[in-house]
Amino acid sequence: MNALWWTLAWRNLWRNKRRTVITAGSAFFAVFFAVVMQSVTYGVFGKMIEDMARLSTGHVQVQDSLYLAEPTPDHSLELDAARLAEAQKIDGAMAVMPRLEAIVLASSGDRSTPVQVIGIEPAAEDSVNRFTERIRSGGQYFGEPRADLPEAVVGAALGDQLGLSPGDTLFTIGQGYHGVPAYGRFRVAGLLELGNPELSKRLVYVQLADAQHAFRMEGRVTGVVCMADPAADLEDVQAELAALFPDQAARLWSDLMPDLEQTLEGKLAGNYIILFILYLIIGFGLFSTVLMMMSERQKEFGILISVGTGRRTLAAMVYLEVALLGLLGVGLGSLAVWPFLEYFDANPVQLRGDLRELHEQYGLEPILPVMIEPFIFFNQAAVVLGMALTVGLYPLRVLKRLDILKASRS
Amino acid sequence: MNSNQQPVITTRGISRTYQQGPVDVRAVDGVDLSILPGEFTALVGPSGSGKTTLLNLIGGLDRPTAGEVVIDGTRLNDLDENALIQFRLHHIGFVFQAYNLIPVLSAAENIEFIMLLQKASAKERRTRTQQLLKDVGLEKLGHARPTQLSGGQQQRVAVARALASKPAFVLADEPTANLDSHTAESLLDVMEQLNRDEGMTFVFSTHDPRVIARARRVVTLVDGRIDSDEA
Ligand SMILES: Nc1ncnc2c1ncn2[C@@H]1O[C@H](COP(=O)(O)OP(=O)(O)O)[C@@H](O)[C@H]1O
Ligand SMILES: [Mg+2]
Repeated sequence: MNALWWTLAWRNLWRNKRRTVITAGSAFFAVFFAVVMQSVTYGVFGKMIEDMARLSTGHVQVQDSLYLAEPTPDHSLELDAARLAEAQKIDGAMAVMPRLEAIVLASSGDRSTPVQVIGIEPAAEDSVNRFTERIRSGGQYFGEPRADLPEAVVGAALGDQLGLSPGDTLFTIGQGYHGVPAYGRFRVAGLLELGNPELSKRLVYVQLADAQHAFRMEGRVTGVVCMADPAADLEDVQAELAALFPDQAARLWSDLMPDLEQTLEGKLAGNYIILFILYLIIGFGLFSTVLMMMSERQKEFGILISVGTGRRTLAAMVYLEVALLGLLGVGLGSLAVWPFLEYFDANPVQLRGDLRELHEQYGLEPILPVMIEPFIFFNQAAVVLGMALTVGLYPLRVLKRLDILKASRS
Repeated sequence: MNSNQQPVITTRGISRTYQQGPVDVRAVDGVDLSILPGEFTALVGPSGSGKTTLLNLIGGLDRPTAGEVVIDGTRLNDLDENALIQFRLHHIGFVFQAYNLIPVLSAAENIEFIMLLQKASAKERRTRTQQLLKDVGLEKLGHARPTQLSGGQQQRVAVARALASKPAFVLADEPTANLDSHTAESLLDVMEQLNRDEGMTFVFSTHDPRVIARARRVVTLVDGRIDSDEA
């Protein structure tokens, strides 16, 4: 296409500067606002899901099929080292780790509180969660194995609540395999700064073998947790794990934390309603601009057709204008929102009030994370651009029916 | 003029009737007209006599309710809307009363636009645009936008644009109506010169006596009929 067409469309766009600025500006803010809103929503939930997955459920977890409904030691599974090694080779699986979880009563001195004990393989978990960097100074992540007592790494808030320091002893009482009472005695190796208060108040990590021993579950685990690659398709990973563990259930995080998923879906549905109204307003603004533009230029269009411009050629020219108008707003909006989000990604907003409480209730850091993913930009930009391209169909109709003599006289 | 030549415009009994409320207005009423190549013809008559309507019919902008129009051997009645647009592009140059340039394009770009529609090569467009600007005496104002030009200059650009497609003839509906008499004279100078030097056929409507005086043939319309035809 000749450059003159672009020149023509571009200059026509600026015949009414104020109107173009307002129209492109509304597309700009629509994209900006929509991207920020979606980015924060995905960011908040993405972080929630990621935190929960890392520290507790995993992205996909293989469990005994009854464990989800009734999480007791009886609904555990026998750990098969060969199959675990197979699972680690699955495409898209970043880490596959056995875990043994149990709710117990923990006490130290005269203080006690319910806690979640998680038996882990320290090295594997450290590679996923960087626990060693999060140990409060004075303590350590799991130290040298010592014959006397098994070690525990305790959430920092829990440690403070029970008045624990490294070297202190933690007692646990819970239920073991086949209902036997399970008593545990652990030496505190270190306090773990988990970043989010609820988990920090609740979690006690011990070595898997020690947990198996304490709960009389030699050779058994409550789950095999898989952390997926960020780029991986979770359902593929789930399918592969299911094939590898045919007698167990391979569950997605969304099945393991259904209320979290429902909250996310509710929030997204709310967003879509807001976005729909926003787009409706922008769409009508765009349409009214195109309407005005078309009625102002009747005479010009009449003359252009008179001197031999095909109606389709003319329609293409006007379509290019409307598309450029949309692109201008969408393009600048996408460009502007990017550094804006990058800034808030680097300096997250600290939450206050109700939102803060809500986050702590979910065991999350009370910040407003953002997600910077191309699909969020593309989706919003595509919707606004699609709107411009749809609105641009109106001039096609007008030009198809334009009466050149009437138009030239106007 | 050589009478053996084929006419470039022929109308046979063309009429155009407009419905105005309950009455039919015969804007053009049974006109037979032949224009030979190289003519410089004025269409005159009082306001409402049908000059514009007749030019529109000849130019394929409007369709007769009766009769036929033959241009360069093609019967316009047979062409559909899209074919007619293509036909206009390649055979007919138009100059309208005023404000008929694309306002956002420069003088040169306005001229080039027509050749772009004709899919002429970039090189041809450039050289021909320069030549045409020179022909109408505006070689220094190619970059100017219509709003930066006087009315007379704009009409000269319009003439250059009309010629850009290498048409068989140029139709001009009251091209001087919005010009003062001095500017009108110099536009006529340009048209006359193109007629003389390049043999370009012009048919223009006017009711300005000074413009009429410049024509070599004067066709007078009254109530949509040819009242007189003097060479
Ligand atoms: N679109 C139209 N609808 C109705 N009447 C028209 C229309 N166009 C022209 N006329 C009538 O046709 C007659 C001739 O008009 P026109 O060709 O414009 O004359 P001129 O150009 O000589 O002034 C006038 O009576 C005018 O009112
Ligand atoms: Mg007229």
